[in-house]
Amino acid sequence: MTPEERERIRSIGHLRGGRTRDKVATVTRPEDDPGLDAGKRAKQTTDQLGTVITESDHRQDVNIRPPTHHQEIGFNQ
Amino acid sequence: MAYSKSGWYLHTLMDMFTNVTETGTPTKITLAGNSLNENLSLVSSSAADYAAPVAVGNASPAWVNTDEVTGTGWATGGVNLHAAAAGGTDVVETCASSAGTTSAGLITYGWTNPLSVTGTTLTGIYGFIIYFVNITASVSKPCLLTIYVGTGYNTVAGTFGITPSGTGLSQLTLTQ
Repeated sequence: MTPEERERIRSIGHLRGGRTRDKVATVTRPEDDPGLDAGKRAKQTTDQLGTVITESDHRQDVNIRPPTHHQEIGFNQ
Repeated sequence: MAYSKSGWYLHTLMDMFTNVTETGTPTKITLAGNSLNENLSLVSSSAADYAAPVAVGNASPAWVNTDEVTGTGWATGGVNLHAAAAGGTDVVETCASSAGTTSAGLITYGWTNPLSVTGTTLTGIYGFIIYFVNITASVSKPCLLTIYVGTGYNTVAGTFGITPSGTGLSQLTLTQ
């Protein structure tokens, strides 16, 4: 198993409702993110729901991007 | 039944539709423009559909701290939407209608600015509730909307954010 395959398996979390949490990983260099400590790197991943998770040594940010919820109100005439 | 559904709290919407005068602030339920009196709290996987605090059809949908996610930088009751965007600013709620079709119209609820709260350590976020924190009656702290996000998200000494999509957090479709 390649390191990439191991990382992919590690990144797949459990979701209820039959959805998978298939992430796409990118690496952000500190110069790209002023919030990171000098010399540190962060991994930014986006799951299938569009949530962005940014991980560094001492920090994890989450930005949830929920799909629009739809609800119908019907009027019987 | 596990927590898996998003939804508007029907009794709170009915108060809006029927122009009920509330005790507390605001005195009228609206879908936008009251962020100073609205909080957003977080929900864990322990919640169950149609049971408090996500009992969307309940005749008395009072906010309760049952199944709430709290942690560093996020106290019980959640954050006030008027100060929950970056830098402690207002998310600026929006409510817009669109023509839709001849038999269906859309009411879209969302925010202009994403929610962004720094310095949080939170575990197991499955959804959130928007509720009126300063109304005491006819329902105390009536809930307005819950959004299920699934997965169980965590932050560690980091920023927790919610960014509505371009078509808002929720759309109500009115059909005829």
